[in-house]
Amino acid sequence: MRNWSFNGLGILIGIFCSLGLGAQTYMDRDTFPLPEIKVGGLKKGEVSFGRPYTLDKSLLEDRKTAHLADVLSQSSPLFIRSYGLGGLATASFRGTLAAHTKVFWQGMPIHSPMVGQLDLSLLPLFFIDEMRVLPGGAGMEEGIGALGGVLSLGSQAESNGGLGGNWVLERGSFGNLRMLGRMNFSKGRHSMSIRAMRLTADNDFVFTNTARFDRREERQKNAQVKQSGLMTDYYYNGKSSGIWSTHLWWQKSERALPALMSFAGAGRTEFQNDDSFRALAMNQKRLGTEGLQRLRLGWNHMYLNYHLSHATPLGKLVNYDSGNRVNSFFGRYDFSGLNWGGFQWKGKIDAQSDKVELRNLNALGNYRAHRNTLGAQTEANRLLGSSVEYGFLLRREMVSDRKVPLVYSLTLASAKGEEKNNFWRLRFSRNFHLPTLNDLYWVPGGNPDLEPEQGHLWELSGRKILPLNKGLLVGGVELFTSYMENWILWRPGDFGFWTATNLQSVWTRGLEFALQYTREESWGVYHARAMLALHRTTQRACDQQGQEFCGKQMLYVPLLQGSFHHTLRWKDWRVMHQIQYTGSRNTSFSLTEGSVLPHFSLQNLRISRAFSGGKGRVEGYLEIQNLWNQDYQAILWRAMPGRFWGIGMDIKIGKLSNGDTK
Amino acid sequence: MAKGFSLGLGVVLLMLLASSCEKQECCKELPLASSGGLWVVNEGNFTFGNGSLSYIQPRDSLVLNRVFFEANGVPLGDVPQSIFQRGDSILVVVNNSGKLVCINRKDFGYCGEIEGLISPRYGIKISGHEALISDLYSKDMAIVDLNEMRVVSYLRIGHSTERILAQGNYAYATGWTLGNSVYKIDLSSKVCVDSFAVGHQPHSMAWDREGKLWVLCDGAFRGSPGGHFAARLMVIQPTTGETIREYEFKVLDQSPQHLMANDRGDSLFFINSAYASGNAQDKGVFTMSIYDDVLPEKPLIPEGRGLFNAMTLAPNGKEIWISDAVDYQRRGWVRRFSLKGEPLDSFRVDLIPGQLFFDQ
Repeated sequence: MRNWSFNGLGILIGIFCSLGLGAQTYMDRDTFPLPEIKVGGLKKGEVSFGRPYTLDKSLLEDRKTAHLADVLSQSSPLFIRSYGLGGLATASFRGTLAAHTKVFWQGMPIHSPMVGQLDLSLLPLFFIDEMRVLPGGAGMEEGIGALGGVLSLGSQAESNGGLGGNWVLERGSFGNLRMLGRMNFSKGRHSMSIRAMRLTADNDFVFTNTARFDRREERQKNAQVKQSGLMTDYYYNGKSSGIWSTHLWWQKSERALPALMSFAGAGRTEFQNDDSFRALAMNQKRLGTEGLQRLRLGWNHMYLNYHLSHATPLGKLVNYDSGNRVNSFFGRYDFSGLNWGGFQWKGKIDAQSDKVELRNLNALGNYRAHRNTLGAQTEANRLLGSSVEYGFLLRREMVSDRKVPLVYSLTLASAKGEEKNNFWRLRFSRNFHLPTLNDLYWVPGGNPDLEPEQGHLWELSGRKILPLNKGLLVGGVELFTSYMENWILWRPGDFGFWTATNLQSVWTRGLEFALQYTREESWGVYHARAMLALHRTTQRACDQQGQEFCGKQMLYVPLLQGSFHHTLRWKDWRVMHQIQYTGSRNTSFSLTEGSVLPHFSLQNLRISRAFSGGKGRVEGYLEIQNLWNQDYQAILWRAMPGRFWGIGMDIKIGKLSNGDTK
Repeated sequence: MAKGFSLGLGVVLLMLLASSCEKQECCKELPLASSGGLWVVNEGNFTFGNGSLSYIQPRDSLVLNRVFFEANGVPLGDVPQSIFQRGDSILVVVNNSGKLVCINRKDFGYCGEIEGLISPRYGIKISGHEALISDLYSKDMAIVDLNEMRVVSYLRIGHSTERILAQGNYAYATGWTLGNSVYKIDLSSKVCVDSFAVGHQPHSMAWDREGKLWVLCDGAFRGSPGGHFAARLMVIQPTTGETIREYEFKVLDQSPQHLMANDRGDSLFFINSAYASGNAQDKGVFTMSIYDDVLPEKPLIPEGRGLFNAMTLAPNGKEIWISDAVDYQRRGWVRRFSLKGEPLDSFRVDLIPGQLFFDQ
């Protein structure tokens, strides 16, 4: 109750600001606005497989020191399941599992084939220049398996000539120190960008331990994090041979894993170290007059070391010390923009080879597995008259250890209005998700007999742009319903181990609604976005054993999520305020009263001031997270911090990234 | 249209506004517990922190679930494993929270806790104020002071320990995980004085009427890193450790656990459950006389579609009480049967019911 009035005040300010200002804003025609999206007329191919929403560049600028998980949890309809500061964070689209969210970098999959997901707390925003969020059927653009959706990340090098640099230094609560640096260089046909990051944090925040009888104030233990990373992007314009590029990304993370809040034991040491190296070479050149073709070859290496030991009076006892090694080789050829038979065509052929190995240093549960995948995909769409478009996508995959049926989607769209910015679109898609290699082979509990998950998804979306007196208001809505057969879930089974099983059927459906508003005046710019997502995910057609939780919301899927984000820029000052709401979540199928985590709402504030001069610019900023010091848990009995802050300096010299010259 | 958008915006904002009105309820009034009640340790899911305690008063068919949380407003912890009694309090060993929680037997109120344990499993009282605690991850057993609520010393074993039984001046502890020994502990000197070689993974023990120690070795399970062996039931002379008799289970997948004897010490009971025996046929509660030459082939109480996780015998010696974890995901049951295996009634408890303990 303590913060009721504060939250209310923030919201009222938001309402008044929103009502009082006009807008010139954009909304993606595919889904929601994280976006910096341009409003344009209907073009071939843009409705059917039109642009997804992209990460707002202003957000990239504001949150350079953050990780992808932080930004997505605060600004998107994705549910981020976070185990605390610096801890594991995975994304879930529309009530699906984290393994149903696939992550691509420069078109290459970088999620682990062992678990089918990627820890988003390991992806620094500073290494990302563009991000596309492709929910539902839109994710099939990248391949199969993304029953929830796809996060497609990209990094670039500047090609606007000269030398530029960007350094960020941030100091914050809980021993948080972040250092980022980037150099851009371009001359003639060459351009290059080198980025480095270093993060250290103790994450020793104080929290009220509501899992202990005396509700004591405790300092979080064993939550320290160290991360280092290096990324290079190099481009060479070979003119007739096209643009050649190489992209290298090395990253290392060491983090301790804190225990549950109820833990009162001794001598426990638990940590996880992640190392990854990704390399990609790409060539892209024109195909005909309007087309583009690209060839990619890549390697993704990941190594994860998990350790759990206890200090006993007789010495250290190591319970687990495992190494997960992944080597994935990837190749893809794709083309787009080919016109033939009245259709506009895209296509791709890709191949991937995954080799994984789990080795426990105390010989518990080792396994090795190998999977080869070869896929071919084509997309085509056609304009009927001036306002209706239809299209289809077909994909066939051959996988070494599984049979995969045909995957497809069909789309029908119509656009109206003077510039055809108001539209609706209907899409049906059929997608598959193969069991991950851990699902199949983990010891103990892997199940080699698992069937692939298959989903049938209907999506109906629309957008309306409404000119106001002094600006533009854009509203978007999307309805979806999806039936998934053979949903894979780990649950306790024989021998007392968790084991992977196919649930009979899961039904996800929902509504996502967004509003966006921007106004530019001589004194500055005001921008506001609101988002509401309603996701219902239930098991259906249950067998007799599962009757009890038939129709009940699946674990850790909030029924309701929302966010409100607004920014005011006045001269060299910039103020950003966010409200994030996460609804209640079931934490167990026992469905007792205490198995539901209550909803929570967080607010964040950032104030910055820029100083420009000569060839450079310096920006100082202060940001406060969890502004009203809310007590909350994202995951049951995992401690989360109260209010915390960061203060930093962002220095830019010369030619700068994202086209943001001083 | 503009009104529609305004309405939508209003809904979003109101929804956000509503988020702040959070209330947490604490500490309900519960009926007082009385003697003859049954405590049920609900383990909950590992690392979910959702373990709980139920209390059943069979006389009145009364079931109280999550009594510790309801009475105290805090969770019991992660994977409560076992329970034992000391005077007016009971002590719950909470495995993955590394602690021992003291609860008032009458009103379920919190009366303290012992922190700093490593991976505690079972406990027994060894004197007026001391208890011995076994540990899954430590090669020592902890000796705790129940007055001062702290660990006072460690008893060196050299292997992890599981179940403990005491008789006279000695206690016996099984070295379950990847082990093959039973350890003999002198309670006066608090020293491990001997160890007896038994089968692979000795889990539970029982005394018979002749003072012999029966040891049930589950042989581990399919894919176990220490190997998978046939389970064995062994009869040990507790003074010397000599094996007097042994029985070998014919089906490799059978990994029986939870051995116990009736109050006369002439009949034995054990569980052969899907928990440890996977898809082995003929799962359930088995019984045999201590004079039988062969192991029973058919269960007295078939497991059916349930998942028997633990059991106890009623103090009247006429009933078998079984905790049924169902599928580890839904709330489980405590089921009451006659000694002939006839179902009498069932009580709905919480997630993954485990050890059962009659208040005495």
